[in-house]
Amino acid sequence: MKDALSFEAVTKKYGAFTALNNVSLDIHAGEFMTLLGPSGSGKTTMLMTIGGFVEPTAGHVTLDGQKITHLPPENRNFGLVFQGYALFPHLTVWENVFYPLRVRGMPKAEAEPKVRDVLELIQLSHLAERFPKQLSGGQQQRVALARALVFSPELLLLDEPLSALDRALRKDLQRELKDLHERVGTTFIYVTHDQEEALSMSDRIAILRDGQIEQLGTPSQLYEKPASIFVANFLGKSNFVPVHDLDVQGADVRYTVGQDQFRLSRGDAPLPQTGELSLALRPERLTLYRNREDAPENYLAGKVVKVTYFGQLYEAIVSTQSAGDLLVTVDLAHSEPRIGDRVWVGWAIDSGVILAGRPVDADDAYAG
Amino acid sequence: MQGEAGIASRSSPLGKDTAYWGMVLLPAVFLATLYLVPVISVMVRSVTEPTLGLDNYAVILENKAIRNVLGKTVYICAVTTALTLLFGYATAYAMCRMPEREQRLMFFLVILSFWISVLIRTFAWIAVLQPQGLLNDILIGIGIIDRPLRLVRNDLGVIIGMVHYMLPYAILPLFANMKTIDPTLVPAARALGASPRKAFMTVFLPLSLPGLAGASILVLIFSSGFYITPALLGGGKVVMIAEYISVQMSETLKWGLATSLATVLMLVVLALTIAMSRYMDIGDTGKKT
Repeated sequence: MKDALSFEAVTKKYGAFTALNNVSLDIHAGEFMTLLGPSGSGKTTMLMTIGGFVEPTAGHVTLDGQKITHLPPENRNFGLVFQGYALFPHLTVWENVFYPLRVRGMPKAEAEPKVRDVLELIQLSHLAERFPKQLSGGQQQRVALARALVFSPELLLLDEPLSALDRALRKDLQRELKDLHERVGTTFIYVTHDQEEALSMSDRIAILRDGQIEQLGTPSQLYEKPASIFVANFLGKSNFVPVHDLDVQGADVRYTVGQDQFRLSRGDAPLPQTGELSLALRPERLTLYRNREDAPENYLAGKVVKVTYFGQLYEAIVSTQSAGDLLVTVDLAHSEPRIGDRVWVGWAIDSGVILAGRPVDADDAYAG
Repeated sequence: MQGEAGIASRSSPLGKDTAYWGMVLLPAVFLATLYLVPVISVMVRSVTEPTLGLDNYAVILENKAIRNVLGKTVYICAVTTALTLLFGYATAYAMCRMPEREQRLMFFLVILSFWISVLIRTFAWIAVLQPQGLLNDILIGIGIIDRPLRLVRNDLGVIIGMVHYMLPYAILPLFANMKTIDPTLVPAARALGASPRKAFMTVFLPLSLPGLAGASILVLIFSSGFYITPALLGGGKVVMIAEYISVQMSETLKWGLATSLATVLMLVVLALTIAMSRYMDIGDTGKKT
């Protein structure tokens, strides 16, 4: 695949603080790339470096092989959608969308069809004469998108564009954005701290932490095969079970929890060699069994200590002797778990990933 | 009015219309007796003294000396306002871009000049600007000039003193307005393809127009009534309308002429305020018709 934009060992320092630490990343032409991370992880710095508002301390940014590291923003031809939309309050919707064409010296008559088309694309043609403050948040967001797309930019950069909207509207706009991306075919680079947003929209996600890319991959790769406890924790929920005494036979791994041995068919997931190890297990990969005979090869005995009802599923916390408390999701097809039930927690041999380290709650968990 | 006040009071802690009217009453009486009455008496005097009629206004139109004073006043006010807005705009713009701490320091420095009386400041300017003053001494000392520049007892001296006095009055409303402009708008314009200059001209400047209008009215009105600064820094050679009125009052005792000039000044200020508030759409950034 063709690379649209590349980071080549980019470092950005603000005094003693390192916002980006030797980051390299290739973004393919036409893809929806999400930069995901907690606040302070460097994702916005990365986006602003692409936009031309931040000059790297070291390294280069290239577009189609050309260095653009020191090119001012107005010469880059990238669309940028800000968190607060940044619509011009003194201009109407039509004038806002016309703005990028106007500063490029395009006469009004020539711009007219382009503005009309893009307003139609976002279904706001009927509001063209309104001022931004007369629009709802979602409408303002769409105008900002139209304004950033009207000049056919090489890239569209989006800085947490949905964070100011309420939850229901955010869902709708996620779908619309994804749809828009498919229709216009422009490379989208999307910054967010919302993992759900990242998982549902992206072709690929780069997870950032402390100015570095922690892991890069498709949403399912990151979710199913997280490379670190941080990633496993940041994307969705995960149980972490301390394991030891690995016995590795190619893809087949035997590991010990407490006194019991379990089996993992790890596929192509890498395996840490030394130090403390944890098995990351997604709650939805765990199943509760009433009878031991029904359980798969890997199972542990436990007792239900807490049950929460979520409408479409239950979440049960099962206390086990060797693995501690495990979070298990139970779909409604199963009978409702009750506190005090003695159960067997089972998981398939291809479930779980063995990761280096042990989770440190406050440090690795991300609230939100 | 009653109805509106009633609606407003329903959600208020005081709860009673009378409390609001009571709060307005005292200042209203104060203003009426100490401000409105003298103003009306000035206006009445201008058409009754020495005889009933518009004779005083005819004199203003015909008298060459008065016309010169009015012309000079307009000229000095226009230049002062233009320069004050220019410097004030630059200062306010810079302040907006400063980090919090530097901004507070700048704010303090701007306010600081309010603490020094205009009389002291004017004498200080004389000390700095006069032929044997600080500035000329320095310039001669480092050899840039060999004869002192004429910086006081002329228009230039008056304008320097007035601009200095007026600057905080321009900086404060401009700064207040600029703070309301979303700081991402200019970067957004840049990202959309505007050069820094174009982004400023098409986005920041239009949005700061209400501040500019407010500041310009304030400065223009204040400077039209300047008395001490032109009298001292002009050294008797630059006579503006306020000083001329004072002379008519206290020396030539032509109270009729003095009051009619005062009335003219007041009406001009009033007309300016109305005209500019219409034209500039003060206090509303978003709407356009």
